[in-house]
Amino acid sequence: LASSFPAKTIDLGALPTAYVVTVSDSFKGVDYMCKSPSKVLSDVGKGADAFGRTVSFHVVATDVGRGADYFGRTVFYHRVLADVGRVADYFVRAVHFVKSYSDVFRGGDWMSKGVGKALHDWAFPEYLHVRTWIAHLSFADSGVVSDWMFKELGKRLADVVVAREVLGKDVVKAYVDASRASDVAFKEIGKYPFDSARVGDWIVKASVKVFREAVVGVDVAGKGIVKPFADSLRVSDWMFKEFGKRIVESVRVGDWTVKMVVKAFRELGIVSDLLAMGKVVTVKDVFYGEHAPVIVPAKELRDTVRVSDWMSKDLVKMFMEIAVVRDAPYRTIAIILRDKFVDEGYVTKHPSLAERDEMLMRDLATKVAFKLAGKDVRRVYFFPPELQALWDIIMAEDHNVKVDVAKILIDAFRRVKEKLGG
Amino acid sequence: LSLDEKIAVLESLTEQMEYVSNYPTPPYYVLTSHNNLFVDYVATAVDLLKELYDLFKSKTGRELWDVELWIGMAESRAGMMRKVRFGDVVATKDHNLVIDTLKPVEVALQVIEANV
Repeated sequence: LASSFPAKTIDLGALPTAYVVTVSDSFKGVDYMCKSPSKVLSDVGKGADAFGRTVSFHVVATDVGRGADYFGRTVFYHRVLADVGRVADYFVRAVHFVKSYSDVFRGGDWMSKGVGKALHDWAFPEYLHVRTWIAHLSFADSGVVSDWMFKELGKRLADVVVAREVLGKDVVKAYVDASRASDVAFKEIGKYPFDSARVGDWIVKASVKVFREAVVGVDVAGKGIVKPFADSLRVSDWMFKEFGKRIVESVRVGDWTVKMVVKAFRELGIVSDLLAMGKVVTVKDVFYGEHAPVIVPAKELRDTVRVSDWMSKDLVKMFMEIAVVRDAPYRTIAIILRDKFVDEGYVTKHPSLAERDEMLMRDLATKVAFKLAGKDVRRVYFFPPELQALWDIIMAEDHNVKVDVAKILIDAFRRVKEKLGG
Repeated sequence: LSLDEKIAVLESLTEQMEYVSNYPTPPYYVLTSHNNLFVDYVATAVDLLKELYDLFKSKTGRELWDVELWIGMAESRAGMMRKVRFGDVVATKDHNLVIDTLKPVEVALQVIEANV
């Protein structure tokens, strides 16, 4: 076994020898990790006539790992191994020391760190043969330090925000006003405005961040140093944001008014004047005798007069007014005014009067006409097919008046320019 | 273009405009060229109006908020006008936009003139 390892032969007559092996390894990872292991291996052997050997194994390992802001760790490992053996005749010593160190902790919200460290020290058997006071010392010392560290730092941040805001507004107003006069007037007004507004605000925001850092460090210190170091860093930043806004607004206003006024009055006058006068005149003759008066009605005169005067007058008047006003989003305005007047009067005596007056007027889109530069202009509307009866086109006069306006405005421009002195 | 040059442009456009008649006396169609002349006319008129208002401000040192309102309205409406090509239908809105834009132009001119 001793031949398998480097051996030192120490002459007992020589001066005490000492050798110091210092292995210092320092590396620094990314910003989040700093590791500075320091190892000092000291082996001091001293032989004399009376063999004495002192082995000191001093390992100072400092491991400082610092993760993100949430993590800080300091490990100080100190081990001193001292072995002093004094053997006269035959000495066999075997020391085997194995220490495993494992530290796993999980902290924070989304961070875990596992540190595994295995330290193996072997002090292999030493055979000491002393013959006739000739000391033969075979010393084999092999130190294998395996420092293996695995550090994985994973950070995952997921932020998902879903916001949805929908605002709907529907306003419907409908009212009907109808009035009927007691006499002969009827008026009905109906308005049906409909207002609908819908606002939809839809937001989705998703943010996912994955941060992964893995460090594997293998440090084997024997007679040589083999240090594979693997560093893997993966940062994935994925963010999705969608902002959608949908606004639907629909406004429908229907204003429909019907005004109907009907006035009818009938006047009937009948005048009957009957005068009957009768006169009865009695003429009496009176005769007087000698002794007694005798009254003898002799004559009667009857006079009867009958006067009849009868007059009848019938007057009928009828007034009808119908107004239809329609106001829609496309500004359809139709006014129909109907004026009907019927007058009939007659007198039975003879004069007979019948008068009839009827007027029908239709005015389309009267609200949309205005004056421009002193000229009457009007807007022309295109109606949907269901209102085909109200279709309108651009008339020749609509075009011509624009030409006139264009010429008039040039004069206005020139006049303002001269006043400004431009 | 200077103010005079822009006025000359307006005059040139109006000289190209023609009157139409009712059927059957030709020309009895409102052609696409008629509409396009007005589109150019309105754009030039709005531009000229803005320059006159700038001149007014520099001369008097005053600002007229209502004129700015009318100018903004005219600009907005003029931006909705379109030129049509042969075969396109001159829609009612093409006609309406012309008079709707010239109306604030006229009002703005009146206000400026009254405050000079």
